[in-house]
Amino acid sequence: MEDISELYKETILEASRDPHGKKEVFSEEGSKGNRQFIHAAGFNSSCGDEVEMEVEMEDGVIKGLGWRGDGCAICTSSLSMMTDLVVGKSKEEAIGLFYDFLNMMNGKGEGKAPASLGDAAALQGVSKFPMRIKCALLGWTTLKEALEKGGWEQFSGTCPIDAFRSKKGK
Amino acid sequence: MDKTVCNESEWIAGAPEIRSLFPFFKNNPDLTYLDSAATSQKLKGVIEKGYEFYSIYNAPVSRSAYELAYRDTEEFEKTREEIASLIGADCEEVAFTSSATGAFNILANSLGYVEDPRSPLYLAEGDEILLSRSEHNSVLLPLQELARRRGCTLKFLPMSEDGQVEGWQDAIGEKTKIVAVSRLSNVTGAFADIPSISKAAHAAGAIVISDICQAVAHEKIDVKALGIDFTGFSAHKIYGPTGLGFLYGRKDLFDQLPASYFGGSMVDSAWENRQAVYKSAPWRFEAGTQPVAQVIAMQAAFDFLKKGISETALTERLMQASSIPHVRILGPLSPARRAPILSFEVEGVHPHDVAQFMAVNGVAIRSGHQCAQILHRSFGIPSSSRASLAPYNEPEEVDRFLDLLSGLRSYFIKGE
Repeated sequence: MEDISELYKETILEASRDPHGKKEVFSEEGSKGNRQFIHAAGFNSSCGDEVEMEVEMEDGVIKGLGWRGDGCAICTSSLSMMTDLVVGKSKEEAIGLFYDFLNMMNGKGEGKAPASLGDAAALQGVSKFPMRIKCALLGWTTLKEALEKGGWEQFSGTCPIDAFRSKKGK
Repeated sequence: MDKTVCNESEWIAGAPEIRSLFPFFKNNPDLTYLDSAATSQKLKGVIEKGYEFYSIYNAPVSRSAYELAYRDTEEFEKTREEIASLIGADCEEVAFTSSATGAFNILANSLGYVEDPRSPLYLAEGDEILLSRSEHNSVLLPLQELARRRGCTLKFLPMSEDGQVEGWQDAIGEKTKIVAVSRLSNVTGAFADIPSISKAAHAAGAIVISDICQAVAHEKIDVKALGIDFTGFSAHKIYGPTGLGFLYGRKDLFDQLPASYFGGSMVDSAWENRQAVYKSAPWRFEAGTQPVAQVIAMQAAFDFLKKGISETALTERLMQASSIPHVRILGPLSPARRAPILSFEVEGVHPHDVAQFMAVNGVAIRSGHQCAQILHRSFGIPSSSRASLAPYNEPEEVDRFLDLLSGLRSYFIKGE
C-alpha cells in the first residue's frame, strides 16, 4: 500500500485549498485588439469532473489563464500550479511544459522531476497512483486543447501518451 | 455490541459463517471491501462450480446428441428455473444475457422492432417514455436511443430532496407507453414504491420496466407482486460470475417481443428466400453460444440467495454516518426505507479524495457519478462517494469506515 503523504504533499493540499487561476467570469471568446481569448473544456468521464478554461494570448505569449469547475485536490492543485507555471510563457514553451509534465506522470515516480516544472514537480508522487494520473492531467490536457485551438498545430490530434512518445522520442 | 450469529431460520448479515463462504476475504485479510453495489465477491461454490464445468463436462449446449452435451443442456436449463424461482417468475420468462446492460439493450432494441400498432409494446411518434432520475445509464441510454429512433419523448419523474421517486400519479398520462423506475437506486439506496407505480402505469396502458440489479441483492423479489413487466439484473452483483445477466419479460408481453439480436440457437428455421422462423421466448433472445460456464456456476449461489438474511443491524450501523458533521447523505436517512448502499458527500472534500483517503487506509469505496449522472445533476453535484455493504461485511468494518469518515475532513481542510 502506498503512503498517502506521497500523494497529498503539504504543498499540494495548500494549493488545493486556495488555488490560483480559479475564476467564475470569463471574457468573450475571440480577439480584442491584439489579444486573443481562447476557451476550452476538459472532462474526466470516470469521476464526472469538468473544467472550463480561458487562455488569454498576446503575440504568441500566454498573458493570462483562468479556469472554473470542481475537481479533487490533485486536479485543483495541478491546475493552480500549472497556472503559475505557464503565464508569461510562449505557446511553444507551454506545450513543452505539457510534455514534461506528461512524461513525469508516466514515469511511475522514478527519476528526478524536471526542474522546468517548478512547484508542479510536487505532483510526481501522483504517478505512483495510476487511477489519479488523469486527475493531475485534466488541467494540462485542457490547456493543450486551448493552445491547439488557438493555432498550435505541431502536436495537434489526440493527446496522447503514445503519440507523444513517438514524436518526442526520448 | 450486537452479537452476529446465524441460526437455522435466519442469518444475520455480518456473521463470520457468511464471510467464510467467500475466499476473497481470506486472500485479502487487510482490505475492508465496501463496494458490493459495484460488484459482489464470489461464493466459493460458484468458483468451484465453474472450475468443475471446464474440467469435467465442458460441451456445447442444446446442439448435440452425446451424453455430455445433454447433461450440460439440462444443467443450463436448471439455472433458468432457479433464476425464475428467485424472482417469482416462470422459466419461460427468463432469458440469459451478457449482463444487465445486455438485458436492457436487448429489451430496448427489441421494443424498437415492434411493428404492429395494436401491440401493447408498440411505440408511435409522440408517445412518452417516463423515467426516474435515478436510472442507471444502462437503463437510461438504451431507452433514450429507443425514444430517439421512434420519435418518442423522454420524460423524467420528480424526486424528493432525499432522492426518492415521486409524482408518478400526475406524470403518467395517456401518451405514456413505458414507465422505467429502478426498484432500488444504486446511489440513494432507496426502494421505490414499484407496486403503486405499476398500478398507475398499467391503468394508463403503459408497461413497467424496473431495474432490479441492486434490489435482488437486498430483498426477496417477486416480479408479479411488484407488477414488473420487464426487468434485468446481473449475476456478478449476487455473488455469481461476471459475463452473465438476465432479462425477465412477463409471459404475454415476452411472447410479443421480437428478437433484435440474431444468429445461431435462436432460430427454428432459416431459408434462402423466406423470413426465418425464430424460436419462442426466451430462447429467441439467446443468439450465439451463451456463457455456459457462468450459467452453470451460478447454480452454486442459489442456496445462499434463498436464505433470509437480515441486514437491518448492519444498515442501521452504516447510517450512523448521517450524524457525522459535514457529511451529507444522498438518500433517505431512515434505515427502514433503504438498503445498505450509502452515497454521501463530505463538505469541501472532493469524492475522489475521500475514496483515496479510504483506499490508503485499507477501505475500498466507490467515488464518481456511479453511472447515474442525471441523478447527480439533480442533486446539484457532479459526483459522490459510496459505501455499499453485503451480508459478508462485519460490523467492525462499518466502524472502520465511520472512523475514517469522521477524520478525513480535517486532513484535507486546514484548521478543522
